Parts: sequence; C-alpha cells; structure tokens
Amino acid sequence: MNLTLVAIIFIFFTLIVAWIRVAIRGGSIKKQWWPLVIAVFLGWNAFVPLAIRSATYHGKVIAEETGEPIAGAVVTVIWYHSPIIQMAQTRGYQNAQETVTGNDGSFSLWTWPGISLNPFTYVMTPPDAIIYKAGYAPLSVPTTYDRGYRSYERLADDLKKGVVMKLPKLRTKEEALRFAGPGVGGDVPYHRTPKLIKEVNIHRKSIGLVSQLGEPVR
Amino acid sequence: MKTKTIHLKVVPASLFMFLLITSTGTPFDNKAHEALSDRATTISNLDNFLKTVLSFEFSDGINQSLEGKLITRHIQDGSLLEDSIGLGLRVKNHFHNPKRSWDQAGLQPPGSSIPTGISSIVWSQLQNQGDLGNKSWHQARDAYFTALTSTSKSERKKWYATTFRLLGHAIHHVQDAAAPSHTRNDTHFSLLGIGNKDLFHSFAERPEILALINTIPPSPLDASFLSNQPSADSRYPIPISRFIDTTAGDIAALALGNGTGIGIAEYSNANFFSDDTIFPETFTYPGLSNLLISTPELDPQTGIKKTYLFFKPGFGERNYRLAQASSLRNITGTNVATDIGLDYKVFTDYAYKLFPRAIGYSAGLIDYFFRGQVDTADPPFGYVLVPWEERPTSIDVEGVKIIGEGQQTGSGTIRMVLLHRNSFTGQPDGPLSPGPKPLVVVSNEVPYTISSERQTVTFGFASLPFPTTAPPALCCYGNGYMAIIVYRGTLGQELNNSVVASGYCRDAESGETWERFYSFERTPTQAYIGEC
Repeated sequence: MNLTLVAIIFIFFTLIVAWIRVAIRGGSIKKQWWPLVIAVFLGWNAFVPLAIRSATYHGKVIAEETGEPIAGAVVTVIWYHSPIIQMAQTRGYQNAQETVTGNDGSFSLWTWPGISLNPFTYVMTPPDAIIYKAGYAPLSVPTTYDRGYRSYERLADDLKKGVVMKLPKLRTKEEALRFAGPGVGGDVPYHRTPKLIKEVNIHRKSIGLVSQLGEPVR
Repeated sequence: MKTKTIHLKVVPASLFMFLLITSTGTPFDNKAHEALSDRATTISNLDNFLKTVLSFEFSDGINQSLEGKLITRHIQDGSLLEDSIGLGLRVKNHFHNPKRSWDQAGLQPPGSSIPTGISSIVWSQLQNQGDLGNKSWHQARDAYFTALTSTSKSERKKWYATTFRLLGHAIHHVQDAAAPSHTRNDTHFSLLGIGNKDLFHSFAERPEILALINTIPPSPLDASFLSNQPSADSRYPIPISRFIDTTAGDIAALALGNGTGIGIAEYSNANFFSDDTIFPETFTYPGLSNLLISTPELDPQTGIKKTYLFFKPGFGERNYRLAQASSLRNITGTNVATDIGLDYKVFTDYAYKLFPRAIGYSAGLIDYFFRGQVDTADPPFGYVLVPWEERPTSIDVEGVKIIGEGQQTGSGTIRMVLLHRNSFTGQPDGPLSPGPKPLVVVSNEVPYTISSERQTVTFGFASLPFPTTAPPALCCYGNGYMAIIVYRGTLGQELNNSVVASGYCRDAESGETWERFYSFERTPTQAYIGEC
C-alpha cells in the first residue's frame, strides 16, 4: 500500500481516537481542532481520490477478426471499496462511470472513485473495467468466464495508454449465453451502469432470451 | 453542561457504530465465491430443471431475469451475502472441523477451550440464526414454497429471487469447506490486509485462478449424496450435511485420497495444510511420517531451487505438492531458503484439487434442492363438458407420483397452482374480454403419502377460474392457465419441510414433456375444462 495513504490513515484514526477519548472523559474538543479534523476528513475522502486515483481512460475498440471499429461499445469503469477489518476477501460497490464508443470506435472517459465517507473502508485500486458490445465477447478481468485480462493493473494501464481493445465476435449460442449478464460485481446497482445494462439487454434479446435485466419494477 | 457531555459521548459512539456497520453491512463481493457459484450453477441441472419442469415461469432457465437480475446472479449474491450480512459476524460460523463431533466442530481459536462459532453444518440447518439474519436451509425451503404458492405474480418473483439467494447461502458453506483453513480450525483475521490473513483465500482471488475455476472440470459427485442416505448426526438431520461431512466422527486415514464419497471438509482437512496448520499436533493428517521430500525444483522466477513435500505411496494422492519442504526446517534442521511452507506452486496444486470438488459439490447441493419431481401419468386429452350450473370446483390428476432417485418415502400435502396465461373468445366479432379473472389460483391442500404406486389426486378449489361473463352467442369465452403441482412434506431423509414442484405433463410412451395447461371455457349454457 502507498505510504502516503498509510500515513493519512494513521493520522485520521489518531484524531478519531483522540476525539472519542476526550468525549468519553467528559471534556470538550478544543475549537482549534475542528478545522484540522475537517481538513483531514475531507482530504482523505475527497482530495486523495481526486488527486491520486482519478484518470482519463481512452482508446479505441475494434473487432478482433476484421479490425473494423466498433461503434456503440460500452466502456464501464467500476470502483470498489473493501472493509479494513475482514476475515473474508470482500469488496463493495463504490462508484462507476461509463461511456460509449463513437463511430470510429474511440472513447474517452474521466474516472474517479468518488467520495467515501466511511473511514472503515478503503477504495480498492485500480478499478475494474469492462468493454461490452452485444454480439461480441466482452473485455475485462473476468470473474466468471475465461478470457480477457489477467491483471487489473494491466487493464488500467492499457486504458490509460489508449491501447486498442479487440473484441472477438461470438459465434455460438453457447458462447453468447455466457455473456447474458453484465459480468460486474454483484452489488453494482444496475441503475448506476445504465448504458451497460441496456447493451446487455440488446444482446439478450438478440439471442432469444425473453426476460430483461434492470431494476425490479415495483 | 451535563447534556453537552452526554452528547459528546453518545455522538462519537453512535458515529463509530454507524461507520463500522456500514463498512461491513453492505453486500460485499468476493470473487472466488462468485466464480465458484456461477460455475456450480452453470454445470448443475438447474437450467434444464427450470426449462422443463417450471418452464412457464422460467423460459430462459438460469438466464432468466428475476427482479431485474439473472438467477445465476441471485445465487452468487447469496453466496457473497453469507459473508457480509450480520456485520460480517456470520463468518465465525463458517468453519467445520470434521474430526470433532458436530456440536464441537466450529471455530475454536487457539487457547480457547470453547468454540466461538458453531459448525457450518449446524449453522446451515439452524432455523433461528438470531440477530445475524435467518438464512438457513429451512428459510430456503420456506421461500421456495412461498414463491410457488403466492397468488401475486410480483410476490412470486420476489420469493423465487429470495429462494435462489438463500440457495447461494447454502452453497457458500460447501465452498468454504474446500478451504483447509475452514476445516482445520485456522482463524484468519486481518486489518487492511495486515494480520493473520489466510493466504489461500488471497490466492483464490487472483484473475488466473478465477479463470481456472471457470474452466476446470468439476469433480464428479458420488450418487449417494443425492440419494436417500441420512445425515450422520440425527441432531442435524437434513442430509445436506453429507456434502460437508459424511460422518459424525473422525474417519482418520479413510479421508486420505481422492474418494468422492466423502464430505468436502473431510477431504480438505486430511489432504491439505492451511498456512497456520502445517504439522500441528491437533491434526494427524497430513502427517510428517506420511510424506516424502521431492528432488529440488528450480523456481524460474527466483532462480532458487525448492523442494516440496508429497504423500508417500500408500497414503494420499501423489500428484500434488503439499508444502514446501522448508516447513520441515525446524524439525529436520535442513536449511532450505524459503520463508513459508505454502507457496504459489503449492496453492496452484491445491486449486486443481479443491476447486473441482467445491464446484461439483456446490452443483450437487443445487441439484439436491430441486431433486424431486411430481410426475403424472399420460393425461387424458379432451374436454370435460357439463352444464354451466354443474361446473366443477375440482380437478382430478391421475397417476401422480413423486420421482427422483431414492425419494419414494414420506408424506405431506399436495396442491395445484394455476397461473393465468391467456384469455380468449371464440367470437371474432364479440367482446374481446371474457371478464375479470384471477392471475393465480391455489387449490386446497390435500394429504399425500409418497408411494411407488401412482395415485389419483383430486385438487379442490374454492372455485375454478371460468369466465365470469357469459358469452352472448353460441361459442365460448375461455381462460387459459398453466398448472404447477406442489408437494410439501417429508421427502426421503429430508423431514417435513421439503418442497417438490412440477408444471409439466408427460407422454408415457415417448417420455416427452410439455407445460401442464388447463383451459376453462364457458358457453351460454355449458362449462368445459381442457387439460394439457
């Protein structure tokens, strides 16, 4: 982990502990502490994500077989957080951004993890990303299928460098069924990735699935 | 002043608790469970079951969207939520030491004489799991039954989704029992990744290992797991225990090897180490005397030669590394330059052994949940035609029999659920609607004893969903309904609470099935019922 982050975490928790100790002893926190507390809190939750973790992802999406640009492919970046105390390896949804490729297959997307107000979690870096187009095998670091990147760092680096991303055409119904879902973490709210879900539903319809993904209708 | 002091105590404490809760209380993700659950769902018989047995409501099979999410996703969610809900404290009940009696087989930290958690077998069958949320097998059965018999379509979808999530909770325990730390009483607790982290857990999250999970052939499941064999401990009688532990005591050396008839905890306990349980006195196997040291292998990444431990002939399987030989350093005095007993190669070998079993057994548990079917004999084609005043309020189904290997015992109740599919009018020029109709109609329950003989069951209804409006001319109005027959009660060794449902008719000669369909029609003077 980045030493700066460790230092910030240490300072932050020291302040919290000091605050709680003073409170429990019945004293009061001196007024001059408040700006520092607020500054650290804001720094940790807003400045650090913005300054250190934000990035512009760009590139071009083409068909692997023909080299033709793919218009309308959805590029989705998803940030996760994880609890600092844990027994299982867990992660939860933090933030997401998405865009769609233009006619020449190119895209550009500024991304950052957003503000987390919970000091008991930390934002996991780098973020997850998926490039999805109906009828093509998506590109990501997959959890539930066997193709694509084997490293989040490599995927993030390539997206920062603007590497051309190649999507192979799906050839069989069996292949197509493997990608009948968005392929993102379970707790990613679908309404936060509407472009991705819309494209997944186009894919589902094209292979004869009747039901559509989306938020439940109440 | 006193009020201010109280505020200063209460506010930070409340804030602390709120943040702690929200840090662990959200549905977190865990990629290994996600991948294992997805693969298990895919290779199980669930897709086929849904498309053939409950096809009207699940035409897309496991790719059906329920509440906006795939069925596979709901199962994955459940397997993840088992770790994260209840402040994450459910995790303490995810351990099972197969060498101990089940009431003592939970997590027991070093130095403690009393388990701090209960065995995952006990936990998965515990109807009241208290403040941590009730997510046991019982709730999964209740949810399935509620889904099948709800009279609102939105409620049905909600409870089906709940069923699949609860099934995810159940397979979570099978998957955890594939991790040696969970069967060898190895507490692993970390802060910011620092602390006593279980290295196999971290290893399983690597992208290349997730890819392995998605491609590796699953371990075949011994047929006995799906048959009529009882749980080894009658205090925890649901036979799902057998997927984790087939005996109530220590089977010692019988757990060595690749036997598929043993529980997954018995296998992972005896044939593998966790990073904190390499040759502890508490576990006989793998024992120092069972192992031999290999000839040194060159690690191409570091250029260092390493030796590994394998089982000797006559003990466990011999085609995987159990540990780096450095774990013997303190015992033998040999000075092998490594820091830890379990390295990447060892974990990779573990993955090739443990994940196929985690996938195969998880799939087996899903199949166990849906193992029975309510079969019927070849239905009579045609119509029952009676005067409108004598219209029936019951439906006879002939040749009812619960099928499924080893399931021909038990008793309970059986009922029929009618789901509206379409309404029609036989008069092109007449009114298009035959009047209001119920979307779901459930019959009264009928006592039913499972036997090898086929039986005729009469399903009585308060009223059958004939059109409420009389057609004005000679022809008819009609309401079409799909039917599901639902059994609830004892099924083999699963007492009282099992649920079996089927919504098909079968051709006795060809074995071909199709959706069970009824049409309830009305003429100005008569009532018809058409079946299948």
